[in-house]
Amino acid sequence: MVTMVLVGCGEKVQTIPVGSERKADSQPWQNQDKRFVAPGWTPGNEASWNAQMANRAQGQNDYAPRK
Amino acid sequence: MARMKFICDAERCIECNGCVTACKAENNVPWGVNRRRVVTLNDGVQGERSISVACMHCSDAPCMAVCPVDCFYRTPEGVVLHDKDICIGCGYCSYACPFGAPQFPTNGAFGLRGKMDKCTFCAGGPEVNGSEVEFEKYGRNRLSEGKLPACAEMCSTKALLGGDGDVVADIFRTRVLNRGKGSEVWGWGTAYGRPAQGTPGAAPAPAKKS
Repeated sequence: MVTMVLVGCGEKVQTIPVGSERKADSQPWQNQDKRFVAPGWTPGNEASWNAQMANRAQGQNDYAPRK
Repeated sequence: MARMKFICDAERCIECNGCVTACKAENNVPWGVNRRRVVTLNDGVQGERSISVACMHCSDAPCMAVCPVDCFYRTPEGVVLHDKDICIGCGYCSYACPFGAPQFPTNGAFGLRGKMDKCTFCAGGPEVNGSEVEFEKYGRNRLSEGKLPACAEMCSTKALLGGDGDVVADIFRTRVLNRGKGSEVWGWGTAYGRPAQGTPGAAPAPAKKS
C-alpha cells in the first residue's frame, strides 16, 4: 500500500533492497590466497593468527631480547 | 586479542614519510588521497616534532555515527572499515572525522567525489580476503597474511608502532621508561599546562574583581 502511494506520488521507495545491505566481512585469519602469507602460522587458525600478530609486533620492539 | 591500534612515537619520528610512501605503494591509493600523513609542528625550528597520522580506528567512530547509508562497520579486532559498494560519497564522514581520515579522490570531473577511501589498518574490506576485488577496492589485506600494516613495518626509526593495543602500548611504555620518564609524560595536565614533576610551574592568572 505504501509502495503504491510512493510510486503514485513519484517518490522512490527508500527501504534497502535485499542484496544491497553492507556485506559481511570474513575473519582476518581466513585467507584463500596463500601466495603472500607470512610463514610461521597456520591460515584458518584463530589462535595461530593471534600468536603471529603478537610475535610480529615484537619486531617493532628494540628492547626485545635478541635470539 | 585487544583492539588494533597505532601509536606514533613523536620522539623518534624524523618526518621521512616512509610510512606515507609505503601505504600508497602497498594499497595502490587513488590520486588525491593520502591515507597516512606526517604532521610536523614547528617545522624548521629547533625541537620540531613530527607525528604520523592516519585513521585512528576509534572505538566510538564519528564517521560511523554520521554515515547516512550505514556503510561503516568495526571488526572484532577494532578496525573501522566501510563498504565502498554502499558508500554514496556524501562526505559526511570526512566532515565528522577530527583527524581527516576519510578522503575522496580528486580525479573526478566537476568535483565528483566518488567513493570514500581511508586507512584500513591493512585489513582490506568486506570482500574475500586476499582476492583481486578486495585489492582493487581497499588495498592489501596484510592482516590476513599474518602481517602488520605496511606503514608500521616500514618505519625507519620504529616510531610508528602498529598492532595489538596491549603489545604496542607495552613497547611504548618500555621506551618511555628507558628514557628515564614515567607517568608524567601522559595525561591531560601534561598536554594542557600542568608542569611536570620537579619543574617550576607558571603562576596562575589573578582573579578579576567583579
